[in-house]
Amino acid sequence: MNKITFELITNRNVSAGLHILPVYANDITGGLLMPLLLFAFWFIIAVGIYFAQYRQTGMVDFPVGLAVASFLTVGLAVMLRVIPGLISQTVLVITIAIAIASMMFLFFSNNKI
Amino acid sequence: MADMSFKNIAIAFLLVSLFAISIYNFAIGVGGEYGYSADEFLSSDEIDFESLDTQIRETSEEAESWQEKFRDDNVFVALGTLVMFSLWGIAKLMWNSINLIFELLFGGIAGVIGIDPMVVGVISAILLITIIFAIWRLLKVGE
Repeated sequence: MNKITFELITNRNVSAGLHILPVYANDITGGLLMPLLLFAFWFIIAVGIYFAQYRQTGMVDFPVGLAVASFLTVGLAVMLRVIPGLISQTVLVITIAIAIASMMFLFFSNNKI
Repeated sequence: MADMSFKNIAIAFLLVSLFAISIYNFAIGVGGEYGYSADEFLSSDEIDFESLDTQIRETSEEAESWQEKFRDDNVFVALGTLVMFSLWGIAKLMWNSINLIFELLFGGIAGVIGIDPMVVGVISAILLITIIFAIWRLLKVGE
């Protein structure tokens, strides 16, 4: 059975800053970690708002949760993009596209605009 | 589903455009503060934000030209011009907003997911026909 080889963290200069750790983790997972983290952030907020609305009011307006989650995810993605090596341009642009699509969903599904 | 009267469609498109431009400006602004150019920070091979940038620039230039016209001319002449051309200007601005969303979303979808251009064409045709019917309804029914 072939073993997966990956770069050791000793090859990196961790004293350059704390950001080296997530950059390293992102690199050895082939750039998957940060997009998955963003997806988890988006999903948890969207579902959290959904159940919070249900618990507090008994009614659910899912597009609101989706739009808020997308908006916050764009904010996080923009902040992470500033650190070289964490988020690619494509991932940032996809989060922005999802945010705009969520806005469309919200504004076109709400009767009270 | 919302009441798809022309007023609601127009407001929804304008609000979505506003949010799109706000998000874009936020990203460009943060990138600029940390020494990234707009191209480095946001443009990718898969999705190109150049069309959005062009639209924003055109709208901004148009707004500046209106401002200059209003400031330089006699106030009454400027007001008359505004009344004469405001309808056309607003219609053009609304069309630009709708066009902006199309370019952004469908360009992105076609680039990232690899949807066939024909499918994108059909979807955009359906949306355009919906808007044309909404305008027709605005003229006939008045809502």
